[in-house]
Amino acid sequence: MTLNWPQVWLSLRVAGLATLGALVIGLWLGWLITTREFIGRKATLVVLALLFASPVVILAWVLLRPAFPWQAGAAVGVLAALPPIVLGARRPMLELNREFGNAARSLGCSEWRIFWRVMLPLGWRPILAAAGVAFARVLAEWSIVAAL
Amino acid sequence: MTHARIGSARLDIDLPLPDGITALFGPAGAGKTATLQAIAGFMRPERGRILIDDAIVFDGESGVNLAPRRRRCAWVGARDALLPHLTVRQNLLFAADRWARLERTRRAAEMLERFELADALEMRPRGLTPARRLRAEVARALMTEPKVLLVDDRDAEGNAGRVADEALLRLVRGAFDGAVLWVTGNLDLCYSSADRLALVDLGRVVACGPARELMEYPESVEAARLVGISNLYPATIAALDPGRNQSRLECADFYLTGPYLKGHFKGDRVWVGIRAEDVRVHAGELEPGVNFVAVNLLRMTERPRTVRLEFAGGIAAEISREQYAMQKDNKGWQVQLPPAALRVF
Repeated sequence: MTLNWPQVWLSLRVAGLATLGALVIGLWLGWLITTREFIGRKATLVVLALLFASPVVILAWVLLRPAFPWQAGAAVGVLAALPPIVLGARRPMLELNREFGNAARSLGCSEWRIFWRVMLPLGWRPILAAAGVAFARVLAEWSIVAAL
Repeated sequence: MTHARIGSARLDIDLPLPDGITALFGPAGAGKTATLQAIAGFMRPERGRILIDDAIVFDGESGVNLAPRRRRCAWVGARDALLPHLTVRQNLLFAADRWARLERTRRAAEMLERFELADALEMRPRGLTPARRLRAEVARALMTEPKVLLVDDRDAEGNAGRVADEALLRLVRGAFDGAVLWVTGNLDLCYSSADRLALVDLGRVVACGPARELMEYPESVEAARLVGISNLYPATIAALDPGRNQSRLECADFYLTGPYLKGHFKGDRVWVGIRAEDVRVHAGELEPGVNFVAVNLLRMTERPRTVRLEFAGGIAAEISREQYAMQKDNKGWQVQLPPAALRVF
């Protein structure tokens, strides 16, 4: 059997772009959820759980057919990749914040600096794992769409 | 001036923090950590006002609530918070990003020297003992040139032995001349190294004042209990004699002669207290002197250096092992409560 290389490349591109986009939004959202009390915090988590439970890319394809370019797939893929990243990174972020967050804040660090200098160097492993799960999810859904 | 007045459902604290080391002592759950967190800004009280070096950082009425990073409060929590992926030196530099690189390096080197950590500067926190980790963390906290240093108690958190000791407080005293609030469960440390002592229980300050004075002459029975005076008896003043500087106190089971009590009247209900270490123990057949009470021995507890004897009537005595060795064959027992060691509140 020969692989359809352009198709494989396209799928990887869609999944990769979606994961990257979701990482940027997801880490920001995850840090916000763990460090701030804001109205709608619980609601955000519920929405994320719903996104996790539904096949987002396939649904979008069903709704938008026949016009569904790969760029649209990547954009919707961000929504599909967001829940695994936020929910997967929440626990390590919570722990890191509890352990080092307040100490760093009292040293005069901004949230931004804590994120870059504390959270990322210490929490990149679980975040990478979550990103892997997100990537696999978008890849699988996009493959189904592409095959149909 | 630094002053914390904190009110919330379970907390009603009024604590002045002059320059120097103030020890915060109290049983678990008394609100020590909550007080620290409110001052540092991690917990928002419902009411009150917190001043740090004359600046209002929290005011319940006007709604002022400064972010922790703007309070210039150095905070060292009960758990290790040195960043594990950085060396000790990098940890200190992490706290000093306000300064240019050269200045930062110089300050870090100076601080490490001061806290006797020069041999550990390239080590990761994991390689240090808990006591030195605390030392490094205090050094890091002082890198920011704070107005107040807040240190939580680290002895309870599963660390073997005492983590904070006299040596560390001496170093802190040398490196920082602002207000220090040090939570500790170690009364010996309060006595040896703190300028002031604040006793807290059930979310309020029971007593606050110069450490040694407060431990020697507590003002209330709650304060006496907290500073470890275990023999406490309700009593009635039976007689007062200012001429001979004496008073006569009637307890439930015995009479005591005490010093003259200023500001009290005959018939007042008071509490009499005495430290177990100040109670003297004699054989039953000895001729009774002033404040001798004949008692029955209930139980005996051996400690490494001392023996604690508990007698009927709620009197406990703590005597050295040598003394106990001389007395252990006593048929009957008498205790002596020296008038000078009696505390009346």
